[in-house]
This record gives sequence, C-alpha cells and structure tokens, in this order.
Amino acid sequence: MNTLNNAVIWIGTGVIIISFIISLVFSKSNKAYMNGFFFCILIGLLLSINGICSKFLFLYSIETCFFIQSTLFLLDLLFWTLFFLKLLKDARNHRIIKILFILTLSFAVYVLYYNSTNKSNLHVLALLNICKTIFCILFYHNLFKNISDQNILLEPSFWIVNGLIFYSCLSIPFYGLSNYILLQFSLLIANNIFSISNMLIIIMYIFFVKAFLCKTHLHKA
Amino acid sequence: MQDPSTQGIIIFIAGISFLLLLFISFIVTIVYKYQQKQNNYFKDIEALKTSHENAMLQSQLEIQEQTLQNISREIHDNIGQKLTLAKLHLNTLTYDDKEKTAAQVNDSINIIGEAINDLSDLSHSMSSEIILNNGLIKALEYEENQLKRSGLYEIQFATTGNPVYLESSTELVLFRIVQEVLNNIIKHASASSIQMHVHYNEADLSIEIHDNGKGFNLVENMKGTGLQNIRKRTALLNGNLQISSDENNGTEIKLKIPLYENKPVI
Repeated sequence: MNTLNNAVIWIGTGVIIISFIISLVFSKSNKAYMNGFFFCILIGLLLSINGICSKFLFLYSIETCFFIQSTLFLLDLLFWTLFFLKLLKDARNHRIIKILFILTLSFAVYVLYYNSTNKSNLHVLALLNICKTIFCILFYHNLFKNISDQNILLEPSFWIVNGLIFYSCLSIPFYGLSNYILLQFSLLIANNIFSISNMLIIIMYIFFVKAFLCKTHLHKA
Repeated sequence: MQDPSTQGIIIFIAGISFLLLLFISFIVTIVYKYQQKQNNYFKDIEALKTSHENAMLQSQLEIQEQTLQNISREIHDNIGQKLTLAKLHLNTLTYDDKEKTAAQVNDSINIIGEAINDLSDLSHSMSSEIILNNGLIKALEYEENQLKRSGLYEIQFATTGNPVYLESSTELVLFRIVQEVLNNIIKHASASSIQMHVHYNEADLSIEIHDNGKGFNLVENMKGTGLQNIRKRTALLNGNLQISSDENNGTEIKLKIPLYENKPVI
C-alpha cells in the first residue's frame, strides 16, 4: 500500500471539501464568471469521491469508475469553456474558445466512449488540460492587451486562472507520458510520480479558495 | 542504496518543490510585467490628462479673448453709438423752445435707457456667472428669452432626459459653442425660426440647433473662424459635431458629448 499516494488523495479530498464549502458560503458575487463556480468544485469533489470509491470499494467496477470519470472530465471542460466565455469579452476569443471546445470535446467523446472505455483515460485528460491551458493563455493575452487600473492581485479571476494553468499545464507531461512512466518505473515510484499531479490539483483548489477570499476582501473594501 | 519508498518520496518532494518554484516565478513575473505595463498606462493617462487640461486652458483663453472682442464691438457699434446720439441731443439743447427741449431730453433719456439695457444684456450674455450659478439649461433659457425679446425670431427650446450637472468649465465651453452657433444664425442666416433641443441620454448629452435660414455651402465655409471654433471646442470635450446645411433650406447642427469623460479644469 502506498501511504504517500493515499495521504495525497485524502488531503486532496479534504481540500476540495473545504473549497466546496467556501464556494457555497461565498457563492453570491457581482462578477458574472463567479456565479456557479461551485459547480466546478462539485465536479472536482465527485471526481475525488469516484477515485476513492474505485480504490477502496472492491464492489465498485472499474467500468463504472471510468464512465463516471470520463463524464465528469467532459462536464469539467464544459464548465471551463462557459467560465472563459463569461470572463473574456471579445468576439475573437469567443470564437477561439468555441472552436477549441468543439474539437476537444469531439475527440475526447470519441476516445472515451467509443475507443477505450476500459483503459486509462489519462491521455484524454492531457488533451483536455492542453485545451484549458490555451484558455488560460488567452486570458493572460487579454489581461496584457487591456490594461486597466484594477489590482490583479484582488481579482478572483487572476487566482482562478493561475490555479488552473498551474495544474493543467504542469500535469500535461504526467498524463501524456503515463504509459512511459508505468513502463519505466516500478509501480511504487510511478504512484509517487502521479501523486505529484494529485498535489497539483490540491494546489489548484488552494488557489480557488484564495480567489473566493479575494472576493470577500473586495466586499469589505 | 535507498529503498524504493524513500526514493519515491524524494522524487515527490523534489518534483513538487521544483514545480512550485517554477510556478511562483511565473506568477511573480506576470504580476511584475503587469504592474510595469500598468505604470506605463497610468503615465499615458496622466499625459493625456495634462494635454487635455492644457487644451482646455487654451480654449478658455480663446473664449476670454473672443468675449473681450465681442464686448468691444458691442460697445463701439451699439452702445457707443447710442450714447453719442444722446450726447448730440443734449449738446444741441437750446432751452428757447421748451417743448423741443423737453422732447430732446426725453429722447436722450430713452436712448440712454436703451444703452443701459444693452449694457445689461451684454453683461449677462458675456458673463459666465449664469453658468456657474444656474447651470447650462438656465443659461440657454436666458439666451432663448433674449432672442424672443428681439422679436426677430420664433424660437423653440426643449430639454428632454434627466439633466446632469457637468463641470462648470465643460458647461461654459458648451454654452459658448451654442452662443457661437446662435451668433452665426443672427449674423448670416437671415432666419425667422430657430429650434433648440437639448437631450440628456444615459451616457451622453446631445444638443441640436436648427434654423430655417438661407443655409450655406459647407465646403466653402468650413474654414471660417466661427465654425473652426465650434469644431475645436467640440473636440476638446471629446464630442462629435455634425453640420448639415443646404442653400435656402436652413442649417442643422448636432452636437454630442460624453457625460462622464469630461473632467476639465479652468
């Protein structure tokens, strides 16, 4: 039993639960993109519970686990697409986001449901993360193009996108090279390497919590 | 030789530390670059503001100069003539013919009265007091009454929307623009009817002035000082000016200025 891997999973679930509670408490916002943000955290929570069930409940079939996981991945992509559509205002960015979403979704649906439902879907996750990374790059491009007098450190969107790019960008090599890692390293080391990507998820949720706290700071001001 | 579990933990800690370090540097760079750009943006805004303030000052000086010229012309052409006539009447008093003398004195009193009224009108018209104390709409109503009193024009003035008090310097420039337009109508248009409409939208203020005069050729008269002044002052208020005129079909002037972008200083 890999204790480090398990510890990261439990800590991760704890952090996600905390951020879910915070997102519910501070769900009302004057920022359009923050409305419904708890759905994203709910998806993360469900993914985490699904992972725990597959690991610790022996009756929970691997097919069910993959099916739920794949559906949640797609819902997650849908959520982030809507989030960035609300966040970025100009028509050119909207067009790019929509095209990227349609292409990624089509490919992901094909691979997840028609090609390899029973196999690991980490490659598709890498693809989804590439898509989300591009969304984040669009955000940064937009941020530097439209300079205003706002303090970005007090902008929830800045922290959310930082968290997202941190996870989605840095986890691409882990998920993309998952087969290579499993072949080259022992299962124990491979699990520890994958724990790094789980740790990235935890840090992403910490960034989300920071984003919600930014909002309360603004309210007080 | 380390056991695999220790090796795994070392990989985990090293990996996370490296990635965190990488990402912290990324955030710091983004924030630093953004703040650098933001500083440049503030500098640009400041420079624009200063240049706007300078242009506004320049315009104020031009308005003052023009006001003095108007006063000087009015005194010379109108009030001066009347006072000269009154003096002439009084100089030619003979006192032999009491009736004639009384008539001459009465004429002189009337002429001096007219001159006093003209002076009062001139003072009101040229003073910025009315703008400072009562705002643009009252000042325009005063202009409307002045024109009505002359009996030469049928004038309609309407205000719609929710009036917003602008900076007094902005209102003064707007008022001078309208005065310039009205002066042009009086001097050149040979009009009998003038319509003025002020409309406050949510984001901008529009003023439309229409007369039924003889109109003018836009291409030929575009470089006239009066029209140039109107254009320059409208641009100063970040506004938009449209002039349409056909010979013998009157002239229409539409002026639109944003309500919340003009913060000039005197």
